[in-house]
Amino acid sequence: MRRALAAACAAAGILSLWTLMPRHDAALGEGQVTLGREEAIRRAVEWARQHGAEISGWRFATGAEFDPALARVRRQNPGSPVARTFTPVRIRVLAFHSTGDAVEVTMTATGRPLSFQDRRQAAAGERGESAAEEELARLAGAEAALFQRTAENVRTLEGSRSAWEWPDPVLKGVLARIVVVTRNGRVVNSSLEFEATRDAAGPPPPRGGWRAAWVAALLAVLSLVGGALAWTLFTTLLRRTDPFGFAARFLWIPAAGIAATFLSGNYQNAALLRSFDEGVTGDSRLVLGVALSSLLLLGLFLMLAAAYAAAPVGHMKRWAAAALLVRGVWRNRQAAEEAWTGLAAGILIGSVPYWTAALTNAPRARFLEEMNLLAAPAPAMEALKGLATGWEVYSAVLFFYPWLAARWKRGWAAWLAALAAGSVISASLRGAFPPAHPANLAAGAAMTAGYLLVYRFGGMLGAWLAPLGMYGAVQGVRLAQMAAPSLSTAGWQMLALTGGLAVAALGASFLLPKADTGAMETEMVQAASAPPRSQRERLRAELEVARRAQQDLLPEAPPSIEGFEVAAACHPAREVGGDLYDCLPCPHGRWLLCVADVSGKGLGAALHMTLVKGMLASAAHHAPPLRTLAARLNQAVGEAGRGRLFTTMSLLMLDPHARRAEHVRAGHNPPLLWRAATGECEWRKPRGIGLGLAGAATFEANLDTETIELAAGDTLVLYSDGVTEDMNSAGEQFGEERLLELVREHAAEGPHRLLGAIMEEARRFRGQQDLHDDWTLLIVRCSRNGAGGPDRQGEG
Amino acid sequence: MTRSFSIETRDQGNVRVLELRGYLDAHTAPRFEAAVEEELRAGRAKLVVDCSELDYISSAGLGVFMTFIDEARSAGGDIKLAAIQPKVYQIFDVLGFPALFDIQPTVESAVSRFDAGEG
Repeated sequence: MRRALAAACAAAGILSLWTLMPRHDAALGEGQVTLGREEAIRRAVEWARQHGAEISGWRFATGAEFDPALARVRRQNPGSPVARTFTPVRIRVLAFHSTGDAVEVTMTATGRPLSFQDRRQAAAGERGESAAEEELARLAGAEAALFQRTAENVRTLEGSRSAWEWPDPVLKGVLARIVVVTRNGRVVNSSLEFEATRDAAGPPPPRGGWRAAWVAALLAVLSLVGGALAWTLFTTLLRRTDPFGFAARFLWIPAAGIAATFLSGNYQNAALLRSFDEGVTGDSRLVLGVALSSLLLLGLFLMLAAAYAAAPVGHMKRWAAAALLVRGVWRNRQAAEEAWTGLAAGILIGSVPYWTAALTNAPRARFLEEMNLLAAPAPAMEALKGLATGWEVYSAVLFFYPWLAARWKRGWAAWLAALAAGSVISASLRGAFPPAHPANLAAGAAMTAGYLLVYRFGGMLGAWLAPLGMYGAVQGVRLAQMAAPSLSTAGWQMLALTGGLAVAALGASFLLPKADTGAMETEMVQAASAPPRSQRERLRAELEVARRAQQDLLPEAPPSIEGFEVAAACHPAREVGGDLYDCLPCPHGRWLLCVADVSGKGLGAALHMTLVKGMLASAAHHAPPLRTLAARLNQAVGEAGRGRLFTTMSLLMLDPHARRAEHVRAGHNPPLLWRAATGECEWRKPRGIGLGLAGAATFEANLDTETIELAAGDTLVLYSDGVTEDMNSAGEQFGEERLLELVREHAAEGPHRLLGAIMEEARRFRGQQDLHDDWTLLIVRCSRNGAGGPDRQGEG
Repeated sequence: MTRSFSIETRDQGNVRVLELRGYLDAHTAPRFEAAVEEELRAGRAKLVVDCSELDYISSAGLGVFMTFIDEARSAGGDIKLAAIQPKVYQIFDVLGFPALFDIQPTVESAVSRFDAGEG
């Protein structure tokens, strides 16, 4: 169902992009490029050759720049002949030689030469035949006659400079200018430039009050996210045991995106362009780019660690499949499903700005506006940038929303706040429309809502991969619709890459087996509630004190009861436990024997165990009837536990003289009675509800008291569920049957021997496993002679 | 060793069915607790817990039922248990749960008890 819905999203997204983009995308309208990278380089080589520079075989970097003022003039004055000479997109081709020589050629999107810059050191002394007038003819072409000279061989540091201007006949304030600098008769620098006064270019997009509010909102959101991040890092982070390990394991996903862009040559291309602009040659700025990427990764690392540390326990189910995946559990159907959902939904999210443009009659959308269409030799890899630069996903969806959800009871409020933050980030970063335009915020909000929905229903991995689907689809469709054949091929490659990943994820979601996300979730929830590392040592020491104190609460040794033998053991599964046994003397020589189990384990259970012990001693003081005693305990435990904790208990009131025991069972495991006469065992299970589970009326209505007459040798075995539910490494339980067999076999040997036999068998059964639960056993035997002392043989 | 536990929720009419799978013990109980709390907070008090795939329950798991039963009932709903495996039923039975909870042999019968105006 979810997979089908995602498929529908992907289909709707692609369809919308394909039909809406040509009408609304600025790059496809004003920024149309008819040359591919190879063709642009070929023309640059040809152009340089006309200037006497042979650059074929050099290293090339290419780029495309967008001039919004020119686009505006062209849009507003379609009749302007000067504006029509240029295109809003200018293609740059840089050629580098290993000797440090460099040549730059620029041209319009249709390939018309715009400039030539010669930075060949070796050619400094060469003489050329090229006169400035020849360069004018080459640059102006058919319009050469329209240009009027404004400067003639003016001496400058660079060389002698000539300039011509062609004022637009219909549009005042607009002109084309040609500047040629020659040295030794050789052109070192020439350009054909578009110039427009502010009046001619028309008013820029409205700014003013909105703009200020916009910047303020952005700053507020960024400081809020930054502050929350810092706060989380300092406080919450230590509450989990593994946030840094978690983030480190996850880092390969954005790192893969950055690495792919690097390997595709995009970084090198950008470094060559930047180096040239700064007057140096080669890609000396590559190190800077790599350093910036490392800084970016460090930021993402901290963001992920904080996000994981801040996410509430309830969100762990959305993180479990991804956590398993980065742990190397590749056969993981849930992760594949999330990946498919995210990639597919991302495609629809990418179409949002175009829908917004269509619905609000907004100006052209310049979504993902970087015009470096020609930048990378393999622009298909550009889609992977989405993994590292989906900032609204990182900040609003993966960090801000879970962080707020952990703090605010109202889920919708956290959702709304994250939506607001995400829309500001998204709108300001992507900037599909002018900042002040309402469509900008609307598009940002709609996109963030999309990501939040993916997080909610598709999981954390889905939300993370959604920008990859978004980038891949938007850039892919845009490139595929470009006029230049090599660009449209690159677009299809990008679509194939994104689609291939999505289809692979979809296939995997059918083929792979389900991973055990439940176990992972449990582990993450446990890590979420671990105490800070700094406190752990202290806690351990305090627990040791608690353990000793608790052991002191148990009877030092089983009591001597005339005519009976008693043996007992109580082992907590952790340092402290919730199990309890006790033997209290009562009036008229009677004894109250008890085995109890407080729900849960560890410290909480141990504290309650102490409480129950006190209540038992207090209640037993006047030795009321067993039924009354149980009812009082039920009330006391209920009040103390407030419905969250309960206690099961077996109570025996032993009358040694009458050789009789009264028994009530408050939800506890039924004791085992071995009859010496027959050698057979029976479970004693009168009705009874656990203490603290029900109100007085229900408790008493469901409580039976039974009387057990004991003959010589008869043995009663009271135990906690830790004995029967003890587990071995195969996950098998010790079980009632095994206990029953042991009692049947060893009861005749006396309680101490029987206890020893059961403990030994339990240890053998458990093997290397730790105790699963607190383990308590109390054995009472009616002595054979009717008046003997305690059995002294066997276990001490 | 961490054992597997999962919760799946679905609607059956106006009744919310929580299907438990695997081991509900002290480690996994907080997740069950969070799930039930989420339902009650969202105003869904008619809950049926489908135990057909529940392999084990410890006292901590049982505690979750106790924690929320009053809240569910006072909100006009109930927490009914259904399709408990014999081994697990024994644990419920020893503790006296049948006197406190409506335990049904199948999810359908548990749901229909709500429809019949019970709880």
